[in-house]
Amino acid sequence: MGLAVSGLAKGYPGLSVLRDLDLAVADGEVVAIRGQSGTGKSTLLHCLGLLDRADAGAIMLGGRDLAPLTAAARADARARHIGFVFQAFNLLLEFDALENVLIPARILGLPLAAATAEARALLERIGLGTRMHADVRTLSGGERQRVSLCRALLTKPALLLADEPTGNLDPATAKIVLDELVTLARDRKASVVIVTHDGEIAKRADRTLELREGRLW
Amino acid sequence: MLAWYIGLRYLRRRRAAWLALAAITLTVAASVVVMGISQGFVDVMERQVRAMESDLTAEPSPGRYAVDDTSERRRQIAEVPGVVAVGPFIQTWALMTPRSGVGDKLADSRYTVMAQVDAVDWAADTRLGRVDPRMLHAANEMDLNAPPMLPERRGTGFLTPDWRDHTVLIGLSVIAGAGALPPPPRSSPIPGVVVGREIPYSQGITVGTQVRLETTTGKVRAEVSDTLASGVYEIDRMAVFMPLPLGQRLADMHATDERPAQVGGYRARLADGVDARAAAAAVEERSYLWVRTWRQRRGNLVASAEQQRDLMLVQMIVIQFITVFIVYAVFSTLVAEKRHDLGVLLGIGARPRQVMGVFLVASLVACGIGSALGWALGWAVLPVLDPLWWWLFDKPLFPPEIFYSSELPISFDPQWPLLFLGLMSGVGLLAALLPAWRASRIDPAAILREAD
Repeated sequence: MGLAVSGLAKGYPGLSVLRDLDLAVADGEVVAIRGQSGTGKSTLLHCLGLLDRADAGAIMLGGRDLAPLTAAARADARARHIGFVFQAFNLLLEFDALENVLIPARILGLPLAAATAEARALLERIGLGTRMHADVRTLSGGERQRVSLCRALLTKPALLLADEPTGNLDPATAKIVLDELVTLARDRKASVVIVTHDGEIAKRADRTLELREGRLW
Repeated sequence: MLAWYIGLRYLRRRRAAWLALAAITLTVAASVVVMGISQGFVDVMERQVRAMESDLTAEPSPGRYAVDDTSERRRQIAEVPGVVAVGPFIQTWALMTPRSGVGDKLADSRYTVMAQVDAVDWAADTRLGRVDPRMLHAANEMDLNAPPMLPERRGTGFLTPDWRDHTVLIGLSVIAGAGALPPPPRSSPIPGVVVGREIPYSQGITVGTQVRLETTTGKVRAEVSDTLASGVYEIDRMAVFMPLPLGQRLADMHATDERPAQVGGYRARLADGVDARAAAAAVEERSYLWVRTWRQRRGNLVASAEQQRDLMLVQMIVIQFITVFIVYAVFSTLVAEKRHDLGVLLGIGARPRQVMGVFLVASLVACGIGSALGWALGWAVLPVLDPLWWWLFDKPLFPPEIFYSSELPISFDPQWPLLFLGLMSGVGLLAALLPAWRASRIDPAAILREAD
């Protein structure tokens, strides 16, 4: 079913950012979106992630239009169906790596034993098996982004949104993290939308689109 | 639950949360100490007043001074539901004059004092639980400036089991079944009386002094065996306790060929929690005597102490509310500090009420734990307050010459700590409500934009 966006529009007073935008991403497909600064990449990502409400258009995920949902239903949809990977990692510093990964399960009230097993498996798979209980402040940028990736994928979301996921990483680490992101998302058949300036990401994506004048080209 | 998980973690890891906890602990501890002492004063005052009063006092209707002391009448009162002990008494006024010690003569009449005689059946009175042994002084305890009496020295006087044996030895067969007795403490055949502490203090009468008590109806000889301090000057200046048979001779109520022995009335003790007014009405109905509760007779003193306690309570409640401002400030700061985390949580799907719950849980736990610690600290401080005062200032915090009691006015009644625990938890929750609501209103998109 994947992600299907049609007629998406979003603007601010005196400024139209997204105009009649269409986008389709199949399950397991990785789409990279590029564009110059200020073209609305983050706005698009926030609309897709239900953080911002679009002015018009439909956001179909798994065959269900998420755009008109209430605030509570949007929060629930974010927790259940959408994973986020941020450029700044956005981990919670009071918690260790494993605890950070488990936060979505706690938000949803999922059974903790099963969620913990899943979180451990994810961390093991990306090479953080020995650092599960490390204070996240002691982790390197690459490790933090991998923890962030595990957190995004814990609930097996249908859509994974990544905003410059390698923006704060050195090229070698960025390549590793990107490989893991793509591999894990494909394994889980998540539709992936990556907003980036990074040409390497564009090469790894199944498709690359450019955001220009409020539309994808 | 997310709210508990994150709320407790913030509480554990943030120094500001510890500040709130400390403020709550100290406030509740101070309140517990203040109310422990205030309630202690009420308790001591009540005990002192009730030492002279029983729960119920049944007397002849106004105009009559005595009733026949029959077993039927005692039974009628004892069978009233809630009554656990009954004892007869005679109260009368007498002139008490010490003997000079020279030629068995009375001292100068200027040494005569007006005595309010309370003649009781000692065994029955013991069951009434009227006189607290702690109020009886050791035989040589005459110094009003003396420090509080040691527990082992308390209650060595007249109304204790020791005295009961003593009474039998000196020839008053008012107590049956005393059994094997220790050697007599003295050989005097004269019956003993217990006098209020102010009488020997002002009149030079000491334990062992022989006195004569006289009324218009009779006179008796007795020996001062002990002193008693109720703490109420008017009582301690005039009170004289004596065995019932001695009082009956003094008041001309002893049995004669024409009549049985008489008494001035009966005192009754009630089981804990029994409604005294209802019991008084039931005793009146059965015995045809005029019955009043101890509060009706002498409740004003206790009521005044209760009023002071209530005023302290109001002040303590006001202080709790002031502490709530600290809780509010701490949680407002916490929300500001954790704004980014909260935005992330909301961004990845936490609902606003879950985020609100984080701070409400943290506040509730801080107030609950802080109050419990304050309770423990308050109760730990109460018993050492007086020794600490002695150590610091070389004088007692509660001077016995003021309180007329060797017992410290301290109460460990849990109702006050429980009240503060409940109050602090409730108002602490209210104090965190606004910061928590603000936390739930954070715009996650704005936070995530800032972060990136």
